[in-house]
Amino acid sequence: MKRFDQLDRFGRFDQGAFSIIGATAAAWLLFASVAHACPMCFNGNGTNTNAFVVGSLFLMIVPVTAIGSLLYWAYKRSKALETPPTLPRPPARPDLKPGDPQPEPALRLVGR
Amino acid sequence: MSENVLPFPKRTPLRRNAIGPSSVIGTLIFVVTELMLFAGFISAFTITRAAYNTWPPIGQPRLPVGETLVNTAALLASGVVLFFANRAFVRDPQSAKKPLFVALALGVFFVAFQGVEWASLLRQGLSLTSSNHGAFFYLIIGTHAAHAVAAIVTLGIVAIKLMRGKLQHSTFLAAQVFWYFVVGVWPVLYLRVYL
Repeated sequence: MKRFDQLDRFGRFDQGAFSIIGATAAAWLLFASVAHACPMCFNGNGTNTNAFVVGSLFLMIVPVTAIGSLLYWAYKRSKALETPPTLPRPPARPDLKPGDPQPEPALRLVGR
Repeated sequence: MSENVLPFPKRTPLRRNAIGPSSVIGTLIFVVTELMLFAGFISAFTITRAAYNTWPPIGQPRLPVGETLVNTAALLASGVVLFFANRAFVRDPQSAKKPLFVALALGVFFVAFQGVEWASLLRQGLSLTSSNHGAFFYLIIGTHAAHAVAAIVTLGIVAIKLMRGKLQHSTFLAAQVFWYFVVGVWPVLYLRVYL
């Protein structure tokens, strides 16, 4: 019988055997009722367990929020810097009536 | 070389505008890491506290909630004053002196008041080794106080540069970001540790 740590003819580990081991480990984790990682967090006191869950969620949310906010700020700043400059509006001409040909603007955008 | 060969066009290097001063971006990244430090403290404190039926534990002194509320107001006020100091700096750098010194004074008041509070708690028997209550209190609030002292020193350097007329806006902004972090994290600590 082939062992999982045996190499095939190409010098690679047998991936099929590794897949079986991985699937078994995943199934075992799925059916485990409680993972007692920390005896202090699971001492039979319900509030303690809740605090552990809340603490875990808090620690997951804080870095995502902080780094996400930083990246969002950087994105908004870079977008704001990319916007083309706007030309100043020409001053109002009270001597022009509606229908008169519009005068040429003093500045004109060429290309981008 | 043949005359038909055109010279290779000189390439102009592509330059992108920086999204902000390097000092501000560096301080922001530092603040994010410090935020995680405090998040870890708060999480550990929450789990430890939940294991007790009564908090503070029996025989341990209560924290001065009312007095610290006044101190909290002083710290928040310093943040607001520093905001106006920045606006004044943009208009006229010399006009930022007064609000900057007010913000600095409020920060010094906050740290000094905490020192007095700690001395009182130590006299009442609350120490690092007296219980989890004392250990977490001095660890979390002490870490914040260390940050507050560092921020006060930074603001002091900013004030000296402003007096000498050598203050750059980016330096002021970076100091502001750090001070806002100290101000912003405090209400969370107050609500979690004191109440």
